[in-house]
Amino acid sequence: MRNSKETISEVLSNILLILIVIFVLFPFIWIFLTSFKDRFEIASAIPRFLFKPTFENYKQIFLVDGFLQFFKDSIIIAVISTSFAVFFGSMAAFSITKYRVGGNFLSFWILSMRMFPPIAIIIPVYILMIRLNLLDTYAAVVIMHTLVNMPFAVWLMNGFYQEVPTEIHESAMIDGCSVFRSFFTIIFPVVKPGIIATSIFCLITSWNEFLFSLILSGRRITTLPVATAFYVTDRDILWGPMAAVGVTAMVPIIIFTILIQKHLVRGLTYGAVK
Amino acid sequence: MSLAVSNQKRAVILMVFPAVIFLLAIGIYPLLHSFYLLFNDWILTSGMPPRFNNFANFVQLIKDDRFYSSLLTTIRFTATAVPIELGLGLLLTLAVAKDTPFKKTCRSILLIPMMITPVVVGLMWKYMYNPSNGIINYMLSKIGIEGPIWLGEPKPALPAIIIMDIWQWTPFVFLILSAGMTSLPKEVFEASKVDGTNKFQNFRYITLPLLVPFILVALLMRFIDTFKIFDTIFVMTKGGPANATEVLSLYTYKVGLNFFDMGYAATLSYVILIIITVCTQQFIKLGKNNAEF
Repeated sequence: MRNSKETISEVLSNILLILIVIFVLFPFIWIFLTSFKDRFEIASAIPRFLFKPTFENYKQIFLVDGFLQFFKDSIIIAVISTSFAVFFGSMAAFSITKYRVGGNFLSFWILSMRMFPPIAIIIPVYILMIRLNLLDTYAAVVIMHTLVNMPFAVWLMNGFYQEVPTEIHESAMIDGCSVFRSFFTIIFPVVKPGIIATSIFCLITSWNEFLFSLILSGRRITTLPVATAFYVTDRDILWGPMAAVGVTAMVPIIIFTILIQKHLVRGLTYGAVK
Repeated sequence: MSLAVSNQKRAVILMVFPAVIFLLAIGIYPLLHSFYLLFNDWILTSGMPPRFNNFANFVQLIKDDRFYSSLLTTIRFTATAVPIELGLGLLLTLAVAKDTPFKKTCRSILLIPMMITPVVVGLMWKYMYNPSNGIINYMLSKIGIEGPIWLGEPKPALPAIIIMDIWQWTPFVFLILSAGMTSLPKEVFEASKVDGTNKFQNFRYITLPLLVPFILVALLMRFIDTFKIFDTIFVMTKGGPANATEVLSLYTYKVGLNFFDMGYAATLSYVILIIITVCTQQFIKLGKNNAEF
């Protein structure tokens, strides 16, 4: 009796879960299908799931609207800002977790930087970048993305260092290794999975970041989200190419998300939940 | 030996140095600068330098109806979206409590919406809300409901954005609470089985209290994110129609980057900063009383 009752509740909870997964996935499937529809198919009031696919929309965005350039800008900015954030962030995190440099104050300050709303500093950042003559350059966006990512990298790496037994680098130190050498030759390889997960996180954050990119980019450089946003607001009716833009922007993220799903909860909650 | 120790100390401090200097320079300096702007009148495009204006920015803030309405919109958005996300997330967690391989797969699929570029999420929903060929109104018409012009009329616009936020972020709450569930000590539940408590009692007196720290984390994260929401609204409505979806961050952006009124924009941004900081501290206090945070 008890058993059959449990089986029923198990089946029900699975059905519920499937329904939710469908609900969550539906917009993605829908925009994916739309990106292969022609103009007439999209304008039709009756949405259809079966149709003759076309690559027109992708041709339009890459060959005519120049989205390749925005892709390139986004990739360059994401890679450079991630490298800075992870390199300096992981060094700082090492000192903070293993040597308690700065104590609770420093680690709490870095966490609070992470929670900080970007809108609170866009005005002075905009003015600063004008003064430094950096408006509409890679440098400006890279600097701001590094700012967004660095506290995050420190916080995430803290968790990974905590899992490394202290004996490992202590024994290296006794053997006469300097802090730097033991960090780069002994600790770094041990926390490599952590470094990779942190890097992917930072890449996604930079790829998605909108507000700083919006105020700092211009004619010369435009990140993908900014290009997409203006595409949406300027050309209100061109749903096909817009769907194609959305799909191409999503593909790298979906791949990355699957790669780091194990660390995602910790990453998304800044380590408050493991 | 002492030389070695001091060398080591120097090296360790040297390793934190670049990160801290960078965060101070790019994170703290702008804050100080905008603090200075709070007391100045400065239209960036006028070519004139900032001019000290006593507390005129604050007077303007107090008299500004658009500020109040954007603050109210932000509060309405946060106060509706966050509780619904939390409630649904909790229900889901309880419904899907047991860990099976199938459920793990489903959970990783649920990660996708919260990782996708917010701008793209806005684009997707704008398309689905579209009155002429959007799929949402088409489906509503199938069950005999005439859907509103979601993003084109003041009334349904904010609910439309709330629905999108719920779709995107309920999985996040679900994930945090599920992580919490799996970390609960199994012995407690076994003991309760021996004592013969029913399901509701289990939930009310065992599961819920143990989940409180995780609920607080989810609540805090969602509060911060919804309060500063910008990207999706920028794409979907730009604050319209008739300012019905103009949240505080969007209004701040417009004052600063469309009207170039830097002093007043700085004042608005400080309002956001203060609200978020104060609320975060209250949350953390709550969390500390509940141990783990």
